[in-house]
Amino acid sequence: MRIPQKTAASHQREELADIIRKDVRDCYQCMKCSSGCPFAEEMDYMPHQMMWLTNLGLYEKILNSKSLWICASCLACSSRCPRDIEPAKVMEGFRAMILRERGRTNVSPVIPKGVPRQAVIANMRKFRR
Amino acid sequence: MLGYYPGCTVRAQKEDGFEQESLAILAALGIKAQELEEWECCGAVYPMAQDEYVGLLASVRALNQTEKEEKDGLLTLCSACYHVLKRVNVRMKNDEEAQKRVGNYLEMDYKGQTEVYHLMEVLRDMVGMNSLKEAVTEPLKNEKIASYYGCLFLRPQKEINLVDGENPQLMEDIVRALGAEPVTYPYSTDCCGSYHTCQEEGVSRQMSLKLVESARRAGATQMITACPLCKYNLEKCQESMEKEEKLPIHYMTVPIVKAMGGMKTLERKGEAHAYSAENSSQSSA
Repeated sequence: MRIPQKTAASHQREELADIIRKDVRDCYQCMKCSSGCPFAEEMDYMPHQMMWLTNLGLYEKILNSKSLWICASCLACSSRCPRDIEPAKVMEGFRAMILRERGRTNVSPVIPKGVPRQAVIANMRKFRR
Repeated sequence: MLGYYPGCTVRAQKEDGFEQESLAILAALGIKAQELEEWECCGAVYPMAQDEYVGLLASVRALNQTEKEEKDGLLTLCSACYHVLKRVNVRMKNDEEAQKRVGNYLEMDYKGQTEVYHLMEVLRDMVGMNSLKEAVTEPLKNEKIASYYGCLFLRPQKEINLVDGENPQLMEDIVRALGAEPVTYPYSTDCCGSYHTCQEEGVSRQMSLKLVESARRAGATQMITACPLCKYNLEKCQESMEKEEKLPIHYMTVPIVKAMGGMKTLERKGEAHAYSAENSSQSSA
């Protein structure tokens, strides 16, 4: 049996469009993003799947995914995207939506001794608001 | 004279010697750089959200300060600072809305005039590989060096525009100029796991280990990088190995200093340059 799923409200789509200023509908699923992504094997949804979920409006799945917080914005996907959609930016858009609403994520930072400041600051900027 | 932006990590980890070595190399090659009178942390990540302007402010302050101090450009050593400063500069150059909003907030009129340079860019464009080669007194004959760029120097290519994003050769050229052999391995442009070292311990460890193993299999005797975080990650992932098994990870300045005769020689050369520059400016005045 197929259970109907809730799709994104128009205000959510507008919010995402405001943040990323890209049209994800241009994606033709060539999977270049996922094939080059160094983190793909750790992700629950791979970058091309994230793009597809975006197009289907299944934002719930994306907002609850692990992938969003595994992406380190290394921009391998963005630089290889033939449609110039920049999957890393789309991911950042969803992260921003969560952070703007809740101020924080469920990801809890561990700060090992001797870690460069750069990592601590990046961590703070990416996972907290 | 270049303005110099140390950045938080390089300054905090002064005992690593990255800063001291870089400035000594440049001074010995006749490039002058002076630290900005005022600077603050660049924020470590570029704000990708297009509607966010707060993340631009710190970098714009530094870029504007460079212009105020009438420097010829802004030199930085850390790859994150380079990435952020350069991209913010591109954004300020091309995005009128950012110019307006940031300008209003900071009460300054900045439109991306400052040039941002990295150490290796200065070595290529201002010093030149031939002059670097001439400055080498003790060629590193037996070293096989794997250059690791990481993500921050390469992407997005149209904004950073330092090297070819898919097949960069700049660090390899430097290694060749030092008389060492550059090692080719497949992961020199992949991400090391970055700030995930503060998050999912496993993720960044796996990533870094893949890079190190790949360089080792290609026959490297050491790996060089220009990023404090990459260096940390690449060292951290080898933590549990035996000492002999570990692949040494160095800042890119370490082999340069060695090939140019050590820090003492560099400092002497630097002083000689400063002295002759002083004299020539006096005689022309």
